[in-house]
Amino acid sequence: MKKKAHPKPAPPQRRSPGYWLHAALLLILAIECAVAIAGRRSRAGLERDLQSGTPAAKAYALFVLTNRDTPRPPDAQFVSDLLDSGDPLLREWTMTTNFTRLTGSTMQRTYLDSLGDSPQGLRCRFLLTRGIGQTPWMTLPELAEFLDALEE
Amino acid sequence: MIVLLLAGDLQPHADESNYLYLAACWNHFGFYSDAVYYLWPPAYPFVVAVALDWFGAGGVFALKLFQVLVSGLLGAVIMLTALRLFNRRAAVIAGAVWACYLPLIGFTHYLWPETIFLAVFAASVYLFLIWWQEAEDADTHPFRLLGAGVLFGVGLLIKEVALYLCPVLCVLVILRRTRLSLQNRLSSAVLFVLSVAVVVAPWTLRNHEVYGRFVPVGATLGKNVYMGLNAYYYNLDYPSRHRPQLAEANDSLQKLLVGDPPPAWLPDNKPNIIDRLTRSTQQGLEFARQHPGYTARSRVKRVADWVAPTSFFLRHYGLGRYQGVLAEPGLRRPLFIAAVFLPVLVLIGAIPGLLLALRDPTGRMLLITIVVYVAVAAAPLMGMSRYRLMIDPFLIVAASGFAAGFGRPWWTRKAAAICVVAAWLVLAILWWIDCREVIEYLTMVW
Repeated sequence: MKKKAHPKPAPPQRRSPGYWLHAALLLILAIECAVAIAGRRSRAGLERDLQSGTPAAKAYALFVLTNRDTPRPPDAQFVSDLLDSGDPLLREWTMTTNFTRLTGSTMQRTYLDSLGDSPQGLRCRFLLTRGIGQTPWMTLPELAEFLDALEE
Repeated sequence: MIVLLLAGDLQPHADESNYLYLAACWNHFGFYSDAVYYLWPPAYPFVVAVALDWFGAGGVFALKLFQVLVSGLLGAVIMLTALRLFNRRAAVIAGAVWACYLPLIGFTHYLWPETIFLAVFAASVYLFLIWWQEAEDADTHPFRLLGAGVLFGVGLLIKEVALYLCPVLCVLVILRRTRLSLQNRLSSAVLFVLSVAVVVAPWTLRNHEVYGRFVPVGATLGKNVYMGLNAYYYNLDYPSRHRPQLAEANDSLQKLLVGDPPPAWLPDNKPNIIDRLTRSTQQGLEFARQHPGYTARSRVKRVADWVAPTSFFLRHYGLGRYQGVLAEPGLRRPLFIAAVFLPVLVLIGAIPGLLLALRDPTGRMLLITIVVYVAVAAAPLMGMSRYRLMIDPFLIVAASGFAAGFGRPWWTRKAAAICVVAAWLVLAILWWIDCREVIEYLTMVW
């Protein structure tokens, strides 16, 4: 007499590759968000950088502060203060930002003329003329000149 | 490569200068700025910045060389897609057309992101296509879908024009009945979105950090709306000094379609660039609501400009940018003929290619969706030929499929045949609208 076969227990279900891909992507996304939230600069931190950070940190702080919800007033005094800050990188950034366009370019051009043909003057001229409006167009020799000035 | 070497050192024009400016600023200040009128996605300025950083002023040529190599990838993807959707003969024809297609070749030696974007985008579409064709359950080649999504995300970081195509493709995947169950279709759509999102998210979060606004990749729509949904009419395929004469040549139709414009609107001067561009988009839509008649007739002209057989390659001749051998009449004129007639043949052949020759329903749906998306999203705003480039690789594939099977009795499928004839008729009308100014322009630069 044949023995009655016991039904085999179902094999444990394995998660599919698709499932693991979803999970991995969600995890990466969560890490990206966490890093961004943890690294987000507060306004106070940016203000601190603007006062006493490295030249690059100052320029970045200025960039963010003038673009976020509470833009600094782009008035003539503010621009004048930045141009008189004594920090070349900050002054150069001031020449190129959008908000200085709103105040008109007379002040920047006056400042630019005072720099003469020095490498810094060349850099500022490049940044100013390219940042304001779309003409005159940059030429390749101008670009080469600009890159040379950066190295000096 | 030959055209790159013959073209020599082309002086930058328009957006090319802005890309160089952004790249130089990025290297100098250490972070990415915006171009005053646009917030472009960062990938292309980054590539330019790396080229300038590594090679100095020679970086411009190095970048163009890189674009030529990337263009080879685009050619390979075009051939693979033709092989997948049609046959070996179609793939060979598609490769030959790509190799001679001057509107695409031109961009390999311009400082525009089109070549790199197209290579990445076409590869993404190819992976998406082969996944969709073979999908039977959620576990069928999920890595292909992942690859498609990642490349799509990289493409968005180069140009944001395909941004809304992502949800459109997801809706198609969910709604279209295939061997996949609804649950698997939902799961696949989520996988695609997630794989796009992981690539784009760091930049989206950075934009939120800097601007305090949600900006997925860039903000270019506002400026395009300012130029497109306004009282102005430009066709950027023509140099500005030629435009008055071209308008005169096509006087009656230009007056009918873009004449007597209502008063123009000016953009707000909000300090936050995102707010400024968002406001421009709202102003453009308000303009369209207030002046539906002008908006509708001027759209016809813009769509006609979009399909006109012009290109930036021809514009460069009009601008006098090509010097030396390329400017010699013996070479210039054959190139002119190729640059005009190849797009004409591709457009004519792509219609029956998509509607009749392409039998695979998945491939047909995907390619037609991309064409319609670009036609709806880009053409009505600024109808220049540059906005057609995004679909040119797929039009080449479709036209090659048609050419490879030329002579087959496709006309037995009556409904599709009627659609082809209707589409040809529309194309003929659109060409007729622009033909006087195109002929005038070609005569001027011949």
